[in-house]
Amino acid sequence: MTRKYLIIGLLILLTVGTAALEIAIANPINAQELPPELKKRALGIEQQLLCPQCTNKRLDVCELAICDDMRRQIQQQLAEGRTNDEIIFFFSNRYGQRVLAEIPRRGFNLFLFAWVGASFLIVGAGGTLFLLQLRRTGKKRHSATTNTMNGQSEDERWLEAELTKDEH
Amino acid sequence: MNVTATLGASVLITALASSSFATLSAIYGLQKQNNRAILASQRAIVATGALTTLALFSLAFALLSNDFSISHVAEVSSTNMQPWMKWASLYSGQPGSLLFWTWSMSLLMTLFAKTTLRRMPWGTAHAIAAMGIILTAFLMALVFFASPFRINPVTPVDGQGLNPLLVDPGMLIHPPMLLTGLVSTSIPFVIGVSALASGRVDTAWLRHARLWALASFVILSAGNFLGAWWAYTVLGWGGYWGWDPVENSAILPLLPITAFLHSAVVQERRGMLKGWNLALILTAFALAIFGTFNVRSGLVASVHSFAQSEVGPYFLVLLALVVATSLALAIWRMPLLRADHDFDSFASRETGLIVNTYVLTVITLVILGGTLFPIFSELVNDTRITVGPPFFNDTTGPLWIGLLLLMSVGTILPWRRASPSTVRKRFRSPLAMLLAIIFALTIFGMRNPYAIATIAAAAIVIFVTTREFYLGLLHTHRSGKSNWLSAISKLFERDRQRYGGYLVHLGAAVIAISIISSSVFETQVRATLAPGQTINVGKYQLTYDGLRVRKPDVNGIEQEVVAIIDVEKNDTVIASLQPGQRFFSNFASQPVAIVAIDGNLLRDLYVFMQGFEPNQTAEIQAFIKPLIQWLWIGGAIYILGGLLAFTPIRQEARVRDKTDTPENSLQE
Repeated sequence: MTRKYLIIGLLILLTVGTAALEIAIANPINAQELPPELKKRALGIEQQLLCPQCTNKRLDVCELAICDDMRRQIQQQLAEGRTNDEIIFFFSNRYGQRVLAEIPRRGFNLFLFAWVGASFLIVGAGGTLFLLQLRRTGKKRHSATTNTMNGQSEDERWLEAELTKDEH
Repeated sequence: MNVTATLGASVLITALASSSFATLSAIYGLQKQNNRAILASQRAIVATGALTTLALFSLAFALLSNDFSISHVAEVSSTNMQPWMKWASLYSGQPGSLLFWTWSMSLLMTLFAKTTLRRMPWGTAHAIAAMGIILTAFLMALVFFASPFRINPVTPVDGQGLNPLLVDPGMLIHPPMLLTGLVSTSIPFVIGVSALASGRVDTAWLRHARLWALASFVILSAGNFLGAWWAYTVLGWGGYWGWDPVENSAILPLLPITAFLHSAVVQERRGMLKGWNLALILTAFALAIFGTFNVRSGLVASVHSFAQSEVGPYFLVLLALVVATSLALAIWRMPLLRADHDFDSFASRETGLIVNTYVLTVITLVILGGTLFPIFSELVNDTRITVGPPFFNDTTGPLWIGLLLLMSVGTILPWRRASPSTVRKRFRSPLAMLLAIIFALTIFGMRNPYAIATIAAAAIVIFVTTREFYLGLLHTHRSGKSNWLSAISKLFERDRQRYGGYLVHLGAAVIAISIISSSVFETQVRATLAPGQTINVGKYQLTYDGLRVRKPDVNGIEQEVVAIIDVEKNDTVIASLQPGQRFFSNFASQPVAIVAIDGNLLRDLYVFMQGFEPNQTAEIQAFIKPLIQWLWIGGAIYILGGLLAFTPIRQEARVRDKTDTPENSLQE
């Protein structure tokens, strides 16, 4: 008796479970029903990713089918409770680093930042040295030629006039 | 036999012969002191210009007569394209753009040969030889690697049509402007090379180079603005500049040209920076070649497409030659490049101008590095990466703000030396204003440090520049007893370069405010809507009324699907927008966005449709971009300033040539 009920109960449970599973598979979590804060997070993630096919096109504004798919996956993964970083990591694993809008600041990529630093340093230091040297030679020559400078050239006079014009 | 193609191809070969002759004859004339040979070489340059024009006309004729036996015509044109749209086909695709490059360059060189060349007797032959070499290099590419007149093995019934993205009125003016801008850097380059080669590295070359560099600056800037406007209104992503490798290639040559225009003033006034000026002008042309090579070779997409391209390796060699020749010439003439005036004080306009060129140089290097790095990464590290906008914004952002600050500092400081009291007097009110603006912006709730810094720095530029205009006007008004209107024109007459330059600064400040407000304070909303549903964007309510299908049947467009959207604010309809997608019969997988904008001076409401379903649901994206229209207004002010600075210099130079300035008579 008890055994019979148990079997029937199990059978019912199995049917309901399979049906529920089938419904779940047929209707994945509907993207449109994401709560607003998740939608906002989805947009944020999309803005950090690029289309894997276009050059430099942000995922949130790309109209290719592959990007539509990626956007749907982002929403699904958000609904499953994954974090932003996990989702971004998922896509960079799948399509490679080129889908990251922001270049990761590690490994080989550090060479790029070294280049930026070197540009600042070389132009800055070189420029300052150049100005300092220009000033030093200028002073030296200035003291050597003070006497002859009394008879101003026409050029100098023109310059002087320009200067006073500036001062008004 | 195809007559048009045969004519076009043979004309190109003749042009190649003509430019080679120009080169050889100029070198011969220079060595034997033979003026007739030099004159002949000059005429050969003009002939090359005429011949490439004939080649361009041949291609235009082939396009207009739908001659699909020519493969270039079949690739970029089709029977149902409107004739005016075929102008865009002319310079699209590799051979077409290369022909346009060469044509535009040969015309500029002809103009140069007919005008400026006569006024630089010290370097005529050198300049012609340099032009001849450059023309020969490009014509060789056209004749041997990328001829626009290649014949199809089988003539197709109809052509493919223009790439969907290019089917837009904006494409009729942006690419020619940009290409001409890139090409125009060749003239200052030629002047610089002749100065170095002939040893006349004083101010004689500088005045001519400055005129042509200014022209280059105006055309290249206009090309970039038009490109930004096209991207904004056509590409459908809500932006106008994406730090794409192609965009970077377009802005790179502009930076050294801008730096040159500033440091040239220092050399003209103070006799310093001779070597630096030459370096900047030579770099600009090298970067223009780099840009062409970068875009044309497909290197931007991937190293692999570069390997498949025919002209890619050729341009790489050309670029290497330009750099090597420039370096060799500069090293050879190093002893002549000493400063012949004194640098008096760090508190001077010179410092502002010089530091400005340094900042522009760093920006150039950073953008160049960022553009090339993906290639290195793929070659050396075997990883494909993207250097996206965040990198460029983070690294160059502070530098752009620095440039804004320098615009004010340079304008405030006098030449040579400012006494501490002058410095105090002149900086007092701008500094007070700067602090007041920062304080006010913070009080009003602005928290983004970039936005605060940019707006404050730009506001000071506007203040300082307006003050300068006002003081100048006051001076002219009082001294000349003229009315205000004629005082304005007198002001520009007195020193057009200076006041034109100030106008460019004013435009740049307006642009800076627009860029920062439209990006930092942007609102972006996305929704999938069924007919009748609404979304809110800021204060606006967008109601979606369903899809409409249009069939324009021109330019290869198969159909356009647009969403009808009513825009309401406070329950009143203020606009009806129709964003959509455009489908092309020959490019089924490449629909193009139709952007709809409701704009005013305060904000643009920018809407595009990302996708739609057969059941009429549409995916809509909407942006509110504050103050974005000021980007175009600022651009117009900027270009106007450049034009004002440009036009009158020629008269001024003529006057100066006659009266002869002392520096000139000393050198002769």
